[in-house]
Amino acid sequence: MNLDPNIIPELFKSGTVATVKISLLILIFLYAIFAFMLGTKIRSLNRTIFLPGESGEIVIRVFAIIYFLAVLSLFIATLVIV
Amino acid sequence: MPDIFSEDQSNKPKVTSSPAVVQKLAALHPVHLFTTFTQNPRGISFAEQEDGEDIILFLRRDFITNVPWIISAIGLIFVPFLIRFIFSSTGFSLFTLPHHFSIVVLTFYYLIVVGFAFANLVSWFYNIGLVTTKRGVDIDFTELSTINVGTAALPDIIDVEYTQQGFFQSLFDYGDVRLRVEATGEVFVFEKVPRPTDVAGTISKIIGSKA
Repeated sequence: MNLDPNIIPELFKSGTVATVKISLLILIFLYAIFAFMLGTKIRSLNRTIFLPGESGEIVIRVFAIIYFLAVLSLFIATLVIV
Repeated sequence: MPDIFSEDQSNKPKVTSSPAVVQKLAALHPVHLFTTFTQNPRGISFAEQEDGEDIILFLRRDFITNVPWIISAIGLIFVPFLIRFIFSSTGFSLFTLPHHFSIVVLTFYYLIVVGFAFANLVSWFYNIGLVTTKRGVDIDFTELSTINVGTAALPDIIDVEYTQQGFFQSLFDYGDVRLRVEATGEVFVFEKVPRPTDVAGTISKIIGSKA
């Protein structure tokens, strides 16, 4: 029986890659929850105090949405591409 | 052809701006992204605001208090470059990952750095102190999970004091303004606000005028 001498390192490597990928996915998922929570808090604060548009409140709100979408995109990219 | 949707202009009330209203609007000051101290702010209101209650002071922590996290965020931007430099100069490698993994890890790292800076900015932006004609309002947004809104009616405030501790507070003219509430004995604090002398003076004047 001839065994490929590279099979064990290859298996080890693929196992490591899978572990890293799952770890990354879990971390990014948790971070996406954090980003969503931040956006929700901003929405809640905007109901407590009404700041005018010129105060940059819109910038903060838009950035929170973009940030959440960026984290979500990274999660999907890690899931699909990597 | 008859006009169906024409409006009867004769019944429409004419909007006239009295000199008092114009003068009041002109005296209001705009609040921008980095505003930390404004008297008579324009366009700001809060959820429990009553009719005829005007906001006299708008306060945030002095912008200089943001410098530590700004420096930390800038430092964190260079950490991957530093690690890469150390690893390449010593020839040390923990493990080898495929290239696309490195890109994901690096992107995730920079998202965390941006998130850290953004969370600090939001925390500063929404830590607001208001002094109205009827009360003091302190909105605290701490640790990204706690929203605390405290109010103290001006007639209940028996003492207004401010403290400036240390070199930086004296240099950049910011400090804590404390309002002692009569009924509960609680201390209501506007933390690290700019121009604490003016803030304490203004609140004292309002309380004095009410008495």
